[in-house]
Amino acid sequence: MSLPGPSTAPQTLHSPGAPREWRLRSSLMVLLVIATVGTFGLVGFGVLAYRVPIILEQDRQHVRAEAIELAHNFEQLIDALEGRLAVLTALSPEMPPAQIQRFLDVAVAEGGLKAIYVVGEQGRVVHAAASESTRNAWQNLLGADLSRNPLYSSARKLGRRVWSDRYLSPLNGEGTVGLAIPFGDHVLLGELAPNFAHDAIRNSTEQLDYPVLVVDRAGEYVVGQNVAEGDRLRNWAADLRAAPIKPEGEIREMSFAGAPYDTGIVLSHKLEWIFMVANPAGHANPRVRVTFLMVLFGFVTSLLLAVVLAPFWASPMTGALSDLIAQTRALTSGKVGRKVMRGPIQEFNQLAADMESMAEAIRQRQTELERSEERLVQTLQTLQSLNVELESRVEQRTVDLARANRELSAAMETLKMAQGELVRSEKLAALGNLVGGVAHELNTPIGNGVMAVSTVYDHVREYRRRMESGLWRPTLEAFVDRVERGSEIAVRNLQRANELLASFKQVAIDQASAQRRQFMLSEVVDEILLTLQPTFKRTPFKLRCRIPGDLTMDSYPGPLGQVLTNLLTNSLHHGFEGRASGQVDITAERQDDGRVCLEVTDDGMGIAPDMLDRIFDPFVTSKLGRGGNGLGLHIVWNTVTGVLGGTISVDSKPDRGTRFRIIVPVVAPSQLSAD
Amino acid sequence: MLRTAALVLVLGLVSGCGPREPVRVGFLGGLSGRVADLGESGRNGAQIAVEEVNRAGGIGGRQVELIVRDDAQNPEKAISAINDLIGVRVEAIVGPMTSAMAEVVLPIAEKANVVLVSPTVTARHFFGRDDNLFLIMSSTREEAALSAEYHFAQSGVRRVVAIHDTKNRAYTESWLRDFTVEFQGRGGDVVPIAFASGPDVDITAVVRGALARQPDAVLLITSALDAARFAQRFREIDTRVLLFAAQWASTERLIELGGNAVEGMVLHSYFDRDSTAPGLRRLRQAYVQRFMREPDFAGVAAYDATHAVLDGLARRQGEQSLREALLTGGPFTGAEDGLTFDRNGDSRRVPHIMVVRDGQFVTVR
Repeated sequence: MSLPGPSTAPQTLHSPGAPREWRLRSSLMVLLVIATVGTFGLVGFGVLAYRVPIILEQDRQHVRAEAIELAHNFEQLIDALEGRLAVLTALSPEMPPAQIQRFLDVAVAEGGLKAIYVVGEQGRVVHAAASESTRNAWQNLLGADLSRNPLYSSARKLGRRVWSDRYLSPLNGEGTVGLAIPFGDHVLLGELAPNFAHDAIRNSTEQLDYPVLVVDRAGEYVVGQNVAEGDRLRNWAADLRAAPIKPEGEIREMSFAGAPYDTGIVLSHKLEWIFMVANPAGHANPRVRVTFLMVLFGFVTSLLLAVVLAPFWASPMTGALSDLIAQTRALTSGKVGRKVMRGPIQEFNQLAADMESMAEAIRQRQTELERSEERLVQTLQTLQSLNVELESRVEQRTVDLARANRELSAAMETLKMAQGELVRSEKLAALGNLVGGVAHELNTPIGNGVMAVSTVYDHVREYRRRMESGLWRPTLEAFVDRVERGSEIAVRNLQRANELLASFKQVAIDQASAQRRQFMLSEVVDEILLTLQPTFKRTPFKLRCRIPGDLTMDSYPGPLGQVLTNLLTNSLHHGFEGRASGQVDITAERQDDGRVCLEVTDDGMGIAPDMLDRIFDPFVTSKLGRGGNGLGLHIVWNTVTGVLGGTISVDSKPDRGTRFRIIVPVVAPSQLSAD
Repeated sequence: MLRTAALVLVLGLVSGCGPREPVRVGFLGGLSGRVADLGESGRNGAQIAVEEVNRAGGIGGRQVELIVRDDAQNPEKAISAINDLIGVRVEAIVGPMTSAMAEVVLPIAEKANVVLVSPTVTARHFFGRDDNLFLIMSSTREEAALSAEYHFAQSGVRRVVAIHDTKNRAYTESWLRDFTVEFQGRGGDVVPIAFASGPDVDITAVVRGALARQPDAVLLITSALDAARFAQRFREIDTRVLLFAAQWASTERLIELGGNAVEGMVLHSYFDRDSTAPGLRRLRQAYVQRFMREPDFAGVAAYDATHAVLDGLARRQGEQSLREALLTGGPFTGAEDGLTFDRNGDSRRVPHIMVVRDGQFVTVR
């Protein structure tokens, strides 16, 4: 017999709210990945947050230093050029022109200068030397009037060396930079070679990947490297003049070709030019970019390592665990496990050892269990046979009970019939009483009437006898007088009899028909009392009746009379038994709720307390076997609660008397006629 | 620190939307080479107009960005420059500054449907054409006609040698033709001498050739640089002959390079240097402060041209193109005067006559 164990298939049910289930392998991998990535992410962020501002600040300072150096180098080179030109000012105008021309040619050939002119006192070019231009070019220039040339004018006016801004060369109209050195009446004009400035920049700045440019006082581009055409052609004055440039140079964020650059800006006092060296600002900065890429590389590498290494790390653990799980399942399905595999994890080995001892314990317990199960099965079989026996017995008993029940039902029917018989005999007894009462009442007037008429008859016979002996007037008068008196008595008594008969007739109709009608309560009670008169007359007990004369009811006078009769008879037969005196009070009053309270009170011996609760039950009597059938008060209760629609209560104390209180509605509920 | 944190967060992410895109307006002119003076003046005038509009809140709340490109008076360079400007989606281009360059770039502008507003192009065949080229100056005809009339009647000149630069043939030949027609119509005689501007031109030979024709006057249809160099050479050989030049030469460069040789030279210009118009006075003030020199005709014309473009952009209604706005939306702000284009995108200016006296241009008519 196998145990009803749990399903051996892995449970993969997911209820909607349940947290997701993970495999250990996935969980370990995720843990490893999150740990690695989180750590490196945090470290990387820290590195960036720490390094990036430092790099940017270093680069800002660097571009400023570069700009200062560029300006410095430029000034030095310019100084050297100035020196070379200044040497020529030692030339004397008296020297042969060819010799002067030779000096000029040598100076130009040394490089750095594109052209040198000697301008005479009238502003005319007296000597000129140019580097790469043809003979025509400087021939054109010789004798040219430069008196209105701004560089020449300012040198003459100031009487000192003057560097121009970008100006258009008189030689070919191209933009260049010129130096004017006045000497005597003459002015020596030198123009920088176009590649001079470029070489100067190339020599003085180490990195040439980003914009480097020099602008003149007017904000015009003089020379530059890596400068987009738009930036070369624009005028920089508005950008640079917004705030004065600090003498030690400064760093501003400026836009080159639409991209932001940290730009070192230095103003050369000698030339009044502005030198700018730019380096990409923010994340475009190459060192920032490299740092970021390094962090990113580290991040991705660690992520990949984690992803690759996690399965290797997880496999010994999951291997040991899978074996454990397999053993557990085998155990669950009742198979005896082999030895569990040991892995490198101490806790898992512990668990394996515990698992094996648990399996042993389970095996022992299962053997015991099987034994006790056998015992249980035996007991169950015994119980089953007992049960069958019991069922047959119960069946037998049920048949017996059914029979007894049928017999009881029959007896009950008989009893009910007997009860009906008794009720009818009770009514007959009441009728007997009534007839007795009637006879008794009529006895007196009719007797009196008979006696009066027979007296008149005697007087008539006496008068006829006397008439034969002569009729005397006194005799006649006496006769008429006696007849009149006798007739009077007879009439009165007969009338009395007639009245009594009318009353009895009403009672009889009421009781026999149980008709509903309107009546005065006092009249009905008087009539009832009248019928009871013969009963009470022979006893020492008195009846006292106090009923308001205006109490009208619409009810059933017959049943009400029956109730009164029974209650009064009850007082007479039970309350006053063995007593020498007694009184019964009948009172009635109308209550506030429109019902009538009728009380019948005697001062008799009362009702025993143990009978008081069941006094209205049928066949309850203190005189069983001595004339009482125990139905009187039951009929009373039936009539009051049924036909009359009221309630009845009893209040009694031994030797103090009994009071029945009947409360009935003035207008009885409409009802089927009483039996 | 906060900035750094934000930077680190943003690092490597695609940058989101920044401030509103500026309105881009191109400038195309010769900024290097032998006629850089014209281009530079034009750029400066345009720059001032842009700065004025930006100070007043830009166009519809957007700032204006002037994108400058150099045509170097070289057709290949000009084509790459205008393609460059079209590539960055400029709304319009102020320029080019010479008729020769206009010939090269106009077909490209037509194809890309970009409006060119040239401050200084005056060659006659650009006028009266319904194209994308808007012109600020009147054509060479008005200027040449005035010149012919002035010199024939006022100066009593009958025989003129006209030296013209074939490097800017579109302009110089237009000028020469208009002048010749007018001057010969009056009974004068015009002898043209062509030369190609360059550093190695034998100026002396040209001058001697001109003087050999024994002219009453020499007309120089050249740039300021060449006019100055010719003047120098003429004055060395002959101090008497009357020199007069087309508007192209009427820049400060003429005086700087010409010195005393250009004294008495007569020039023509659509720009009245002695005008007292308040707009011109303001422009002058701003120009001198900004660029440390006086504006010449090219600077003023470029200022007007740029203002026309920016006003046109601002007044454009609904789906209206800039071209329609320029044709119908005038008059536009000009330094001297309001500016209106006719249905061909041309405008009219009154030519003036100036003489160089004591190193200054003096308007005589």
